[in-house]
Amino acid sequence: MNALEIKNLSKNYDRFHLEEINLELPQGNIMGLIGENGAGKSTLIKAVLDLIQKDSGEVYFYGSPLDGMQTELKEQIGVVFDSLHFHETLTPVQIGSISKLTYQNWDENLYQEYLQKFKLPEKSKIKDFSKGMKMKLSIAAALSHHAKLLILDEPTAGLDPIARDELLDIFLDFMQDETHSILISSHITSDLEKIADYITFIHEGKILFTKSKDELVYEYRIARCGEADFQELKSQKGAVWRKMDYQYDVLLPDGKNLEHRYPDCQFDRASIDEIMLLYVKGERV
Amino acid sequence: MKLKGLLLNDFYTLKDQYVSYIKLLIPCLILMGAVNISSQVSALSDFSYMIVVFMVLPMSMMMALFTYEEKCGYMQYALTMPVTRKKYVCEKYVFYLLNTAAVILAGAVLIPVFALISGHAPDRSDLFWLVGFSLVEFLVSSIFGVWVIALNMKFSTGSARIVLILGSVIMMIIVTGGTALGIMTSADDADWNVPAFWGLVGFGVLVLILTVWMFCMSFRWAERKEL
Repeated sequence: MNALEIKNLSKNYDRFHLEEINLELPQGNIMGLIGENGAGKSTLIKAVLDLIQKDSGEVYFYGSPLDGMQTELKEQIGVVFDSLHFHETLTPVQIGSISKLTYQNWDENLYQEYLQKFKLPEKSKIKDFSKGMKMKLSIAAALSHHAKLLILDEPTAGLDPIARDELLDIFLDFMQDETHSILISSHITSDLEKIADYITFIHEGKILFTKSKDELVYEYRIARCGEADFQELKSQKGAVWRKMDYQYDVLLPDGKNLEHRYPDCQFDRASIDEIMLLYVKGERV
Repeated sequence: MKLKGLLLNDFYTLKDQYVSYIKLLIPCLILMGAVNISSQVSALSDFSYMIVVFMVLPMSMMMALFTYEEKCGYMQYALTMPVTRKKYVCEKYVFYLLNTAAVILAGAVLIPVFALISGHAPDRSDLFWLVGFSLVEFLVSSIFGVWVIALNMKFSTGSARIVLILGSVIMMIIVTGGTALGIMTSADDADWNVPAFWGLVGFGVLVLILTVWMFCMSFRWAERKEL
């Protein structure tokens, strides 16, 4: 079963369009949503959560549409945005009290455990928290009602590497239960390389690809080559290239199997950053 | 259950405001009792200004609440919890009514207490007048509350504030202008109290119709609000 399924979702603004988005997040997996600033990641997440009105399309959580089953489904979804959306004078204890009265499955003991684990002072006001502390509090609140699906919109933005590493460990702990799933949007592709099972790349409101991370990391190659090899490589299926100062960089989906045929080319494994860059700035047939 | 969570959030958000208002209002009440200018009219006359303040206070607090919520994006988060937009709006009305009742009740209790402390014990007619006026305050404040909540569902907080101010100015112009017109156009010996009364009744009915319409529309506006 898919934890999340999006069918033909569209949203139109004056200068931006989210076009015919189709996406499936299988249960028990982590999907990273990548794209440059303004690509539509947050818009997609808001449309999925019904925070903005879709112009067309359907969204299903565990096979059920959000419309008409809102409260039951939302019990199973934990959401973390890039900032904490409670008033700055509230304390973690007060947030716990509010959540306890809102979620049927709220686990106060689990919430207290997370507060202790994250070393968050219970009675201090949020305005005295650092960004990392606020993010940890958001995550504690999202995890303490036994959610099955986490939707995270840039949760590690603005955090130092240590805080990011701590959060990634928390997400991996969450995934120990195979019925859990995570949809995480992030600019920090190195984080997604660590934890994601699938990567979806969104560019100018359209999905360019959804691939497994292993395929991207292990199968994709960037061939750095001269003119002659480039003329042959550019006709490969799915090739995307960019002319650099002294060479061509050619992204090849099947690069692993082409290495032996072009001994004069340097083949490197492609990081997600490089893949993004080539897809956005490169050319294709 | 879910309404309680939302109510609790609103209470916590405004908690510091309540403390600030108490710190502001208590000295005002003491000062008014001490000044004691119009004691010969009524024991409560000195506090007539404060009575109006207690009526406007809930509306001011509600605008502050929406301002805080817009600043921190609370509605966006609230709707990711198992809360529908309809429930979110309902909670705002419930909170407003509870808040208004508490504020007006506090005023109705504090004012005679301070009158007593200042040496002018209110008599029975003063208290009847106070209770009656408190009920009118609650009704008028409730009407204002519907407008505040409905406009904040339709517009951003800043725009809602502008629309409210404009609406209040237009109402004042209508009431003042209508009264002035009645006086100017009536004959010297005519009793204009009756047409003025019916004019005000008609105006009140229009305001009530508008309020009911805004109440109904607030739910639709909330459904369409983009966050």
